Amino acid sequence: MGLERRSGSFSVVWRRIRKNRMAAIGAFIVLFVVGVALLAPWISPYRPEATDLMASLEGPSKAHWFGTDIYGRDILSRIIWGARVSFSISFLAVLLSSILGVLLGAIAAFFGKVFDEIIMRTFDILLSFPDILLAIAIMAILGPGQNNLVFAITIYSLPQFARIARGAVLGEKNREYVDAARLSGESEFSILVRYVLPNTLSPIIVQATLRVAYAILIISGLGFLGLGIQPPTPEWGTDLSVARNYLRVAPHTGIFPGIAIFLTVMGFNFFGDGLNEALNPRMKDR
Amino acid sequence: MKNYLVRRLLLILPILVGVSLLSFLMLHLIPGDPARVIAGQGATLDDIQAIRDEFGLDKPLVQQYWMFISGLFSGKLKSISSQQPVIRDMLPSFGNTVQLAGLSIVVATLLGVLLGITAATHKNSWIDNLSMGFSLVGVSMPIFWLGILLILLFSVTLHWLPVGGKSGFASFILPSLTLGLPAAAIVARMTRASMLEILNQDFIRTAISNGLPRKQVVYKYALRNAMIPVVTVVGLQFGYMLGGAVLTESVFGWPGLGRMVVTSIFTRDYPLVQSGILLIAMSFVFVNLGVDLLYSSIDPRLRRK
Repeated sequence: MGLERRSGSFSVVWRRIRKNRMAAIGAFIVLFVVGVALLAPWISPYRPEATDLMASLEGPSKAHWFGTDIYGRDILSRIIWGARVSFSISFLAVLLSSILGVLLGAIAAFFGKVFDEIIMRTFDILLSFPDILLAIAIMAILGPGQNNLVFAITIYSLPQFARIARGAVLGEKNREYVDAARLSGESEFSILVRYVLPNTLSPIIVQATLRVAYAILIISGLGFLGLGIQPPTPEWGTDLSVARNYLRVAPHTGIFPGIAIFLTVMGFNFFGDGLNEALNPRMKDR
Repeated sequence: MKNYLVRRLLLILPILVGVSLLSFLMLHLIPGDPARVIAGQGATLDDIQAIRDEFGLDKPLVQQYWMFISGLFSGKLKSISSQQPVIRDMLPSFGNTVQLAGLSIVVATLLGVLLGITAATHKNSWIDNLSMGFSLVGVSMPIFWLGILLILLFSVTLHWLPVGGKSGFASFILPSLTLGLPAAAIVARMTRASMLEILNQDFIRTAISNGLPRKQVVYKYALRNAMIPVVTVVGLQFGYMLGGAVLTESVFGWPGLGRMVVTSIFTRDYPLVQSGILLIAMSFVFVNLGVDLLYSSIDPRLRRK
């Protein structure tokens, strides 16, 4: 941290510009991909599920910019519609898990004792299923399907929101304004929701942005394993798992959906990091 | 240290119970009658009754839980598709996953630490930018796509390495790169941050102003202190790999435990699914315990907390 201060103002300024630029790139990618998802019906050149067996596994051409897959479906159209699928699931899941997770984490911190123990120990157990394993287990229970996927990703993201909210509320709950509210006769729950939670929003917004990136990785990972969105619905990971079988004859099928996942995830990561710096300036040198 | 060890071991007991309970309950959380779920479509009532008897599905849940846990370790719990004890089916696959994760973590540590140190000692240079660029790319990379790209380059185009399977050493290279590179990105980021913090401390400045060679200060004194948080990150990454390896295994047809769990989901071999998930989660818990103990033995300040 201290190195920054010593190495002169130029590098500090340059560093901020570079970082802001990354946040701007992130925001641009996010807007672009969200725009593509929203406009899918109008901008997609073909229907994503329209097969054309005469045009199977064709390379990129004027008619099909990104080529066609094994069933002759237009890969560009599938990527465009795939964005819609990924976003509707990831946004919904992150929204649900942030509300639920923050509430549970805040209750754990604010009321402490038994609440804290029960809630946080339960989340410790969920966190003991590493990486994508928890999502796999939930999909194994519920079976594939879009709603089940939303549920799996909601549960998968809950503990992180709870932990962050818990930490933030612990930092706030002994501040003077809380005592003041209590003295003026506010109920405990209303103190938590009306005064404490709004003060913990910024790390939660940052986390939500980063969680969308994770959610997209998990959705496509589950799709790749065959546990997520089922064909013929267009989904990036599912399409890549089909492409895996034709890499020798049609390498392009294994490239474009991957670029879509990678860019989208990177966009949200950059944007989340940028937000973090904008909202929590104390952290900026880390 | 002994007290700490005992306390730490006691702390993971409820976690282990919770993890095993959840794995056990999986079958009962599936909508519908568990016996019917296992039997699948087109099973006769007799088939369903046979399954009910074999798995004790009409017994109280507590007893079923005990049957699951004791059956898993005694070999009485059998895989539905192979009729072998699940533990016998799982152990070789688990071994393959551990081998893959082991080699991957070596890749991740060597590459990550090297990049991190270089970035920290050449702060804001092009090397720093390049390696931090690499680490940003690494955390956004879908691991299975990285695997596909490596196959396209090294197997399909250059014909250097096998596309998949587990045979000789050559078959280890692409899977361990796939699993190791994203982790290397995280290790590099951590190493850089940690090195920068240490390099700026008084004892390093003192060492340099006393005339010690810079290389010696960096590699002997700074590195040793900077490695403490890095050890934790490497350990955690290793734990994550046990779960995350499933994607790599599935890209490369690697005969690991994660892939076995996923295949068993499709064949509705629930005993194997449940035990596989339990085994991976348990090893994750123990790896984390190991990391904690290691951390506290490197950094004695923590033990007193």
